[in-house]
Amino acid sequence: MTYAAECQGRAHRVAVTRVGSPAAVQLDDTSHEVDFTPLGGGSFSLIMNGRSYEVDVVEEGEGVLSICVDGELHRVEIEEEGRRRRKARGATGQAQGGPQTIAFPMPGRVVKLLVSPGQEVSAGQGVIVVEAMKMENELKASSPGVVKEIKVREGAGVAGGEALVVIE
Amino acid sequence: MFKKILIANRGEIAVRVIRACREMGIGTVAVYSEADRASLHVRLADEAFLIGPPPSAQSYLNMDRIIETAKTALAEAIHPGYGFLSENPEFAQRCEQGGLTFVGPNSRAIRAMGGKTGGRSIAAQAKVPVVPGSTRDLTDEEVVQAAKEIGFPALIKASAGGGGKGMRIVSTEADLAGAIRAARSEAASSFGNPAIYVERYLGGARHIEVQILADTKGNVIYLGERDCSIQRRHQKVIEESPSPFVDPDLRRRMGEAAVTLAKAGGYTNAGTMEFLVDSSKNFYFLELNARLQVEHPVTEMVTGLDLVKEQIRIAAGEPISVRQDEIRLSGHAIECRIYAEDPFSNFMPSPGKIQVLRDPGGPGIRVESGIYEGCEVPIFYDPLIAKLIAWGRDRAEAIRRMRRALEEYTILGVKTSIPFHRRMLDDPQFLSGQVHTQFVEGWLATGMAEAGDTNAEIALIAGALYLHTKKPSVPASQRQAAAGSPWTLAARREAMRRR
Repeated sequence: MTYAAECQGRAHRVAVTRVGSPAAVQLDDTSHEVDFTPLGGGSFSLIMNGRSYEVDVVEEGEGVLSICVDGELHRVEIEEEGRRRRKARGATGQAQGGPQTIAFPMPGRVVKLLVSPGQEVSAGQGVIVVEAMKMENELKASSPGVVKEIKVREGAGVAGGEALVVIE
Repeated sequence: MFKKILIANRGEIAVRVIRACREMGIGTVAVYSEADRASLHVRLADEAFLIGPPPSAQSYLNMDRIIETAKTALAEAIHPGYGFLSENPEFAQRCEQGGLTFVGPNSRAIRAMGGKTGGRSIAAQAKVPVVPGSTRDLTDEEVVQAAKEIGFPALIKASAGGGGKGMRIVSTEADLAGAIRAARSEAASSFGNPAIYVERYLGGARHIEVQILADTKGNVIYLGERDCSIQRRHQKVIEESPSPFVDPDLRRRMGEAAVTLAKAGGYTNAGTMEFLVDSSKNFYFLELNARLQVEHPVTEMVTGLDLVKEQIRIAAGEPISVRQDEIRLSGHAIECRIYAEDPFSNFMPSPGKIQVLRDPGGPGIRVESGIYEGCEVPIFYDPLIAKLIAWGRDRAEAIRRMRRALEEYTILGVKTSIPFHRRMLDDPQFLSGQVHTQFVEGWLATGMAEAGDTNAEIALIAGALYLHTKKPSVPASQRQAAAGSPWTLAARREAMRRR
C-alpha cells in the first residue's frame, strides 16, 4: 500500500511493502526495515537501524495525524495514494484574496480590538485580543486585507467559534 | 491537630494539599464544579462535594457555598491553595467568624499587607528598600508629579493588580497622560478598581523572592530564595532555588529583610516576599504573596521541608518544626510549569482530552500533576496542568536531569509548554544564568524553532504503518448497515424461516 504524505510543507511517498516484524517501508527512494510494536492506545515502540523510538499517534481528523516521536510533535497529512486529497483548499483560497474570518475556538471575553473597520492590515498583524483560561490571546490576520466588519465590542463575552472580525 | 480539612481549590495544588493531609492522618474534603466531577483531586479526596456550575465565580469563588460545605462535612479548617480565594481577606474573615480555621494569614494581615501599596508602605516604615515610587494610590496629577520626581522610565501600576494588567511603562513625560488613562481603564475592567500608583521602572532586573514561615508563637524564619526571572507576560514559567545570582551575603540580607517585614505586618503562616534585584545586587521589595506559591516545591527540594505540612501545623497553633539555624540549603532545584497552551501559536490555550500521558521518573524528579490519561482539561480555569521539578547536587546536574525528564514527559491530546522548556533548557544564556524578567520576550521574538527534520522521517514511516495496521475506520452506524449485527442477522433469518 502506498501513501501520499506531507510533513513540514514537503510532500513524500511512503509505501508499506511488507507487513510483519520487521515491516518493510519505502520512504521516497529509501527502503527501511522497521519494527513497529503497538503498546496499547495510540502508543508504539519503533526500532529502525537499531535505534529505538517512542511514537504516539493521535488522529486529528480525516487524513491528519499528530505523531509524537521522542517527545517532539509532528503534524503529518497522510492518505492512500490516489484517493482525492481532502486538503483544506478553502484556506489557500483565502490567502488569495477571499474574506477571512477571525474566530476563537473557545468561549472567552474580548479584551481589546486592535483594528477598526476600513483599516488595512498586513499578514501576521494583531487584530483582536481575547481572554480565555485566564490568558490573553492575540489573534492575527493570516493574510493582508481590509477590515470589513467587527462583530464584537471590547468587554463582550464570545462563544467558541463565533466570527469576531471579517477581513477582505 | 485537625481531623478534617476542606481544600477550596482544584487541579495540581488541590492534589498537593490532599497528599500532605494524607501523610498527617487528616481527612480530606474536596469541592468541585460541574466541570470537575472527574478531576483528579475529586478522585483522591476522602469526601467530595459539588459546589456549583463551571464558571469560577459560581463555584470556586463562591464563599457562602464553600463555608457551608465545610460545616456540613464537619471540616475544621479550609486550605485555599493559591489563586481563587487564597488572598481574599473577606473569605479569611468569614472563615474566622464561622469557627473555621483558614490555613493562611489572618484577615487583618492580608488586608494590611496583601494590597500592593499596603505592603510597600509597611516595607518603607520597616526600612526595607522598596522600588522608588509612591506608597499609596494617586490621583492623575499626583502620578505626573511623582513620575517627574522619581524619573523615567517610570512604571504605572494598578494597586489591585496582578499578572501584568493595568501596568504601563512610560519613557517620557509626554507619554504620561495616555498611559495613565490606559492603566486606569485596564485596572477598572480587570480588577473593578481603577486605583493606580507609580514607581521607577527597573529594566534588566531579576525577580527574586524569599520564602518565609511565621508561626503564632512569634517565630519567623526564611527559607532561601527562588529566582523567577524566566517569565512570559509577567507569568512565571521556570523557577529555581537557589538563584544563580545570589551570594550568601545577599541571601542573608534579603532573608532578614523578609523576616523584618513579616514581623512588622503581624504576618503568620507561609508567605513570599517578592523583590526586584538590579545588576549591582541592590534589592527592592515588590510585594507580598500571602499564600502558598505555585513554585513552592523548589524550596522544598533544597530545604527538605514540606511547606504544606508546615502551613497546616502553624494554622493548628503549633510552632514551625525547624529553627533558622537548622536551615541548610542542599543542592539545586528547578521547576518547569507545564501549561496546556501551544508555544508554537502564540501560547494559545489548548483545552481538551488528555489522550496519552507518560510522566517522567527516576532520580531527582518530582511531578506535581492534576491530570491523568483520559481526563479533560476544562476551558474554565487556569491552563497550568502540572509542574515538573528536578533536583541535582548543583545547577548543572539539576538542568541535565530536567532535560532528561522533559524528554520522557509525553502529553498528547492537548498542546503543552513542554517544547518551550526543552528549547529554553538548551539556551546558552539560560545556562549561564544571566537572565532577567524581559529575557523570555526577547528570546521568543526570534521565534520558537519547530521540531527538527531529524525525526520527521520516523514520523512519516510511523504514520504509514499506523494507517496500514489500523482496521478500516468505518463509522459504527455504517458498519452495522453494511454487515448487519449478529442480532439483526439472526432476526432476519428467523423471519425468513417462518415465512
